[in-house]
Amino acid sequence: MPTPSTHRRSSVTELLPPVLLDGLGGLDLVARTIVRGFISGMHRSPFLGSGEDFSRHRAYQQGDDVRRLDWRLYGRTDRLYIRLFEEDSNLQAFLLVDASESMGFAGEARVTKLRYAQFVAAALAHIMLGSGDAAGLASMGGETRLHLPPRNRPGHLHDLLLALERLEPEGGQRASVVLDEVGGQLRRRGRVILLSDCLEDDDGSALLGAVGRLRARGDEVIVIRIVSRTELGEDDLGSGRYFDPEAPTETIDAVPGMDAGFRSRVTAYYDGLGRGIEEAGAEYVPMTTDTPLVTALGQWLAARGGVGPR
Amino acid sequence: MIAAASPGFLVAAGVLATIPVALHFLARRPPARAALPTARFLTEDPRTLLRFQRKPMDAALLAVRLAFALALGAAFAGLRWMPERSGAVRVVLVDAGADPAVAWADAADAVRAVDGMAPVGGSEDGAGADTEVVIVVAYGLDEGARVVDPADLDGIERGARPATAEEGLRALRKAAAVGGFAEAEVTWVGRPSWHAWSPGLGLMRSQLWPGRMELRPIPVDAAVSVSAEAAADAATTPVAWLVNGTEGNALQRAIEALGGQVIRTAGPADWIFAADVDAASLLPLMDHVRGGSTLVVSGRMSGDVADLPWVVDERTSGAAHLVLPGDRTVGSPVGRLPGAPAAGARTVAIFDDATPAAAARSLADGCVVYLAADLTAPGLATAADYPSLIRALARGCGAPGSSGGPLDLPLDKPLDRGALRVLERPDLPGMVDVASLVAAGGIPLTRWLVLLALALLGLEVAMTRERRA
Repeated sequence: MPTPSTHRRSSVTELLPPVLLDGLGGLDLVARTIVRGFISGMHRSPFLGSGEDFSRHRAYQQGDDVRRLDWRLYGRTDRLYIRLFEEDSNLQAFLLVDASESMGFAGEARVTKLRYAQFVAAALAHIMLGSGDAAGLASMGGETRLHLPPRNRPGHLHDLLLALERLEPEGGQRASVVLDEVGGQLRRRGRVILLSDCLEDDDGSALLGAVGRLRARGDEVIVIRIVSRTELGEDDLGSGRYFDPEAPTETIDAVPGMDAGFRSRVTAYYDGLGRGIEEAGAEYVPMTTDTPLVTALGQWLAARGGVGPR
Repeated sequence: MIAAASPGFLVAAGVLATIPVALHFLARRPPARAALPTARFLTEDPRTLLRFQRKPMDAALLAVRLAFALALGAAFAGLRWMPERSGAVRVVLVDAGADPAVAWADAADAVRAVDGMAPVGGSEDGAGADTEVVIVVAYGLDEGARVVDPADLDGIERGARPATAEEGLRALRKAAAVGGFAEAEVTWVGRPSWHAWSPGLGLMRSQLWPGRMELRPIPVDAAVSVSAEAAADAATTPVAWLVNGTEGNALQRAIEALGGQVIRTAGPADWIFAADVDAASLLPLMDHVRGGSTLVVSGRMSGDVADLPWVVDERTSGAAHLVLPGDRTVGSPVGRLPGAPAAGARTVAIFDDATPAAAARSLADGCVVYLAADLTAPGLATAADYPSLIRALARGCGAPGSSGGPLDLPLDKPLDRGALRVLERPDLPGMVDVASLVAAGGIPLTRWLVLLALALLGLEVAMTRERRA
């Protein structure tokens, strides 16, 4: 049964479409607005406890994830303790934002994919740095740019949001290349969050390979796929001469609205990519640019266990 | 009906209109390219209308451009809206000017006797265009000319002066244009005398009315001889004074043949003839003119004479025949002197190209006449009609229908056979196409077509502004 607080969160969610957020102003305000939309139900960071290296025990407190209870220790001591892992503290994370040419596409949503990715990245940076984690920023487009190394010190969030705000769509670099570069920047196991439309010039195998390599190092990899409904074939496009912004010389005369296989081919590509990412042990989070960010992020983070009713 | 003054421009408009049509079909605009990052998943579809993608605006734009080209061409073509004309009309032209030899009642009876006479506007049975329609036009009235009802003929008040055939023909053109008739034929009712003649009538006749006239002379009980009355009133023999420069014997003999007396000493005279004299010599003669004499000057003038009825310019040159009333050509061609009648002067003789040759203007009680040729030239002096020339010049400022003295031509004399044929012109068609006479009339459409073209141009600019942006 929905509680008054969750009912209020639903109302807030409807009032924060991406288009409206785009008009709010700087990413700092946007990030606070998004996070405030679901943070009221969040009493701990949603990014805790997903690693493998045990760090220490802590006495159980009401509200802790019961999946972390160490039952063996309880059997020995008659006291409840939860397990803490190494990444619970001093976690290093990289936000990797795809700023290639295709991310400049908006479609019917009227908000570009890059802008949506900036909103998501800003909210995640807000959450992670607020939880005491270290977060850095990298982007890819014409080339890989390591804007900020993972840190958590006064002013770092501001610097990160500023660098995020300055991103412009250009170029068409492969995500696999950037993932390998970023992975090399992490001194120890960390977290890489890729925000991209995942439209690679191959069938996605290079991307899956890079994800696998990061996972083999023990890094946590989250791939947030951001596309518009128009690209998925869910909007009725008329006849025209269409081209890929990252391959503008090739033009296809088509009628997407009448191409029965267009939608299924796109869906099949992303479904295959998602399966491959999950099979590699990474997390695949599909998002569309018309979904309110509070809804998109809230549902995802709730699934990670970070959100719950007070 | 729409008539075009310059139909060639309509053809040009048609040619101009083919340009936007050609551009519409030749300038195929490729469909716009649209970015779509997932375009690689599309299937090429050659069945689409991509290659001929046209917006509804293209057809409207083509229509606007076509209309602009046609409107512009029509504006230059000088289109005029001509009311539709149909049917035929017989115009009965009756001389209502002053003529003491003819009783108006006789004139009215002559009009009513014209075949087919019916009430104005149609026949008695009210039939349509096939029934002959007759209208009566009276000219020579004090107010000019007007259409009259045959029933009102008896009440008409005749004009104060005799009318000329030229006046009648001009009134005929106007009357024929009124009423919307397509064709017209003419019956002329009057007394064919020299009253009706005016200089150049023979040359103007077919231009004024390009059809023949059926002449219906009004019967005259007794002819009034103007010359006999004038002779009875004349107390003395008319005197003609020849000024230095006019000592030719031919001139003297002509005057004497007309019953005049020639003197050579300065003094009052009925007529003073001067030729090739300078302005200083004419000045003292003007006093005699003001006293009632008629001064006939001919030849080249040196110096300006203020009261001369002629303005010297460089318009004419060469040689030409002189033509007198009755279209009689005098002698051989004579050298013509430059100039034209001054303001207020009346033409009393013409050259054979219908340009004025002599003009007369009143000066106090007298008259000054100027002949733009040498009166003593051998070509004129030896001509059989030389006396008629002298007579025409001596008439001076008298109106064409007036008698001017013993040297004047009796105007009540009936027109000779040649003059009658000039009036009648049996060689011309009986029915005249009225529309051809009124081609210069109608409602001009040029202004409206120009406005329409400008409006269409503005609309085209507005429609294409978005594309250019």
